[in-house]
Amino acid sequence: MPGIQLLILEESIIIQHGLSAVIEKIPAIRDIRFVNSSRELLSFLKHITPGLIILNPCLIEKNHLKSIDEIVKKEKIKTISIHYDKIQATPSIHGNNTIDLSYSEEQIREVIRAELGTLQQEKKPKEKETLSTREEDIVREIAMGLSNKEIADKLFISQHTVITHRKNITRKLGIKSVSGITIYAILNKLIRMNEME
Amino acid sequence: MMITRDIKMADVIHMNHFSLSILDRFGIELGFGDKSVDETCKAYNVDTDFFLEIINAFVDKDYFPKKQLQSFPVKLITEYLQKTHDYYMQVKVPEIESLIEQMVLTCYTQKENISLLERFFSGYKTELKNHIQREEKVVFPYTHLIENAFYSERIDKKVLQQMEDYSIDIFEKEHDDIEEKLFDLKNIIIKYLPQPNNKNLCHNLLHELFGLEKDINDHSRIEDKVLVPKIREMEKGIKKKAGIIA
Ligand SMILES: [Fe+2]
Ligand SMILES: [Fe+2]
Repeated sequence: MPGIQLLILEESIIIQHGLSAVIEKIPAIRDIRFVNSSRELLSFLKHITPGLIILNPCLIEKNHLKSIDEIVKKEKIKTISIHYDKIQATPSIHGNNTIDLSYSEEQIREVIRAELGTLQQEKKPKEKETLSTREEDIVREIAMGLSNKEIADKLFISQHTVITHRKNITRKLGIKSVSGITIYAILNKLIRMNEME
Repeated sequence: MMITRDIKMADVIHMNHFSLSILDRFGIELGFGDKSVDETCKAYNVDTDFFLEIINAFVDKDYFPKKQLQSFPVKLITEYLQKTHDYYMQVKVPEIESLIEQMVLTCYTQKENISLLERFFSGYKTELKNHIQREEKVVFPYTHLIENAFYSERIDKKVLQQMEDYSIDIFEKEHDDIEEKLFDLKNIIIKYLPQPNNKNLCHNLLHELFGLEKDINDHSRIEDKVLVPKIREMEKGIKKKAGIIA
């Protein structure tokens, strides 16, 4: 397993060091990076997608909030907020687990493990190899020799969507060529042999 | 482990028996006793350094000192590539064809499905043949033209004209991934074809497909990573000499 990259948004050196000392004991975490401001966080996210971000919500500037939130949702990055006192603003970023500064070492690790646990579970259905019904429809049309445009017209979807489906089909099946997909379709009775030609 | 000129040729085969096909391409026959790589190469009039580069690149995917391979004459490289083509078309493809044919003949559980594989492979054969023909009829002669021009004193106008019409960049763009269908065929057999009654033939077929795919992979790597950059450099050199570029 390659391990999870963690990004911490926090300006206090003491908290930075404290957190990393606690977190280093979690073997699944491969790499910890620090950023001091939401501007830095944003520019970091443009290049690297961490698995988890621990953040101090007070440091997120209003004008960065939307972009950060979008990236977090799109890339399915897990987030944990650091909770400082009772007058905590409502969590601003997608995801709502918090670490309270009064937590013990073990409590902090538990919160992180719980968050990583969902990360690992969520990855599984993504790797499922069976085709969806829609993808099977497309396999059928490919096997019948239709072009992307013809498939798009027939199924009332955009060509772009057809291309995305085709990519997923190739990835799931491990078959790239049209004639290979045709054999798959026949073997799985998506089309009958006498249907094609 | 890297193969060097002093190790025994027999050990090269022990290390990776797929190397047999490479030896064959160089015309080296079995029965070399305890002769070293260098001694065997000399006996067959083979350039030892070139042999070493080719065999090491073949055995170890990560070994690829293209700078060194690029120092060999173009003709030596294309001659090797040419021999590899012959090996595919005259040895490997017919072998696989006859395996599939036998499978169709001896299969009683799913004859129809195996016939599909047969058709698929025959489509692949045509593709491979066209790919190879294009290289032998167009690309290799072009590389020889460039090599000759590169070493000649004066640059012929005709050469410049031919460089206008074709260039190694064009080859690089049109050079398609010829392993793709082999990859598909393997996956179809491994993942989707219910195991036929004649499973030993089926396993042999898979084994052959893996071997051919690896071999073609290695071959394409030499085309893309050795021949192309080498010719590109020479094209530049010719243009400089002709005063077209500074
Ligand atoms: Fe070739
Ligand atoms: Fe090629």
